[in-house]
Amino acid sequence: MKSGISNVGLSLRDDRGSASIEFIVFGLLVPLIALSLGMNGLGSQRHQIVCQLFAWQAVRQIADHADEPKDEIVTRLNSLAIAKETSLNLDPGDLRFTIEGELASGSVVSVRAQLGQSAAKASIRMP
Amino acid sequence: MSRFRAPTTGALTSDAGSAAVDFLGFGMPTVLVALLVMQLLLAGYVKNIALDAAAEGAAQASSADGTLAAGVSRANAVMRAAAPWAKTRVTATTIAVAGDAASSLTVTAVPSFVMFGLYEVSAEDWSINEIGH
Repeated sequence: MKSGISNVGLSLRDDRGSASIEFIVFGLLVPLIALSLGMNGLGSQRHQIVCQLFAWQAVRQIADHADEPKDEIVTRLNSLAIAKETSLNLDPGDLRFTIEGELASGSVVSVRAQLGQSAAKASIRMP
Repeated sequence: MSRFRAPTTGALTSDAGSAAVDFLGFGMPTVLVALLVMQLLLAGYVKNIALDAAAEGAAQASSADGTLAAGVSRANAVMRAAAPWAKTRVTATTIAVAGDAASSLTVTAVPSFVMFGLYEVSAEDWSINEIGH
């Protein structure tokens, strides 16, 4: 055991090794992992922004067309989702939404938008 | 032949050599790769900010009492707050989305320290105009 501990201490203080492996690990692998993690985070941030903007625009559409039946509003929101997916270069069907609450005057209606792991919710009081 | 030692064995295990060559051959590429990664991530971050600014501006422009100028002003304010070091250009126009009029904003940002200010990112968003717009 003693010799094992001293070997560990020695190896931590020892600077010998392969420069090629050092370059591959610290020069290429570590930055690539950082890039991959960073891009993943940026993708999540973008999804969150898209969810928020869609949810907000959806509730505004609902309030704007409060006199229309629910089916027509759902159709309208589906069109909005497809248009958003097209303009933001998302895959068709990626942006999903649910409407919560009654579409009656004075009640609070919410739209929950989901894109991948990201989700956002916006609410509005019906006029 | 018995005296022959494969050169790769020595090269892979020996740490001997010039520190200057080590810096030029290993240090510089490592720093360059790290800078490239940081710049790519920063460019992606600025693109997300630009999308957020475009969405904010479009929402402002499409509201019942909103104008395209108000939307542009709002988008510029968001960019100034979130990325003051990026040169920003905002354009606004009215487009048709599924038969409805919509306010569309395009935010173009040039982060000054990404690729020496030669790289620009752009994001566009629109919002259907409220009734009475």
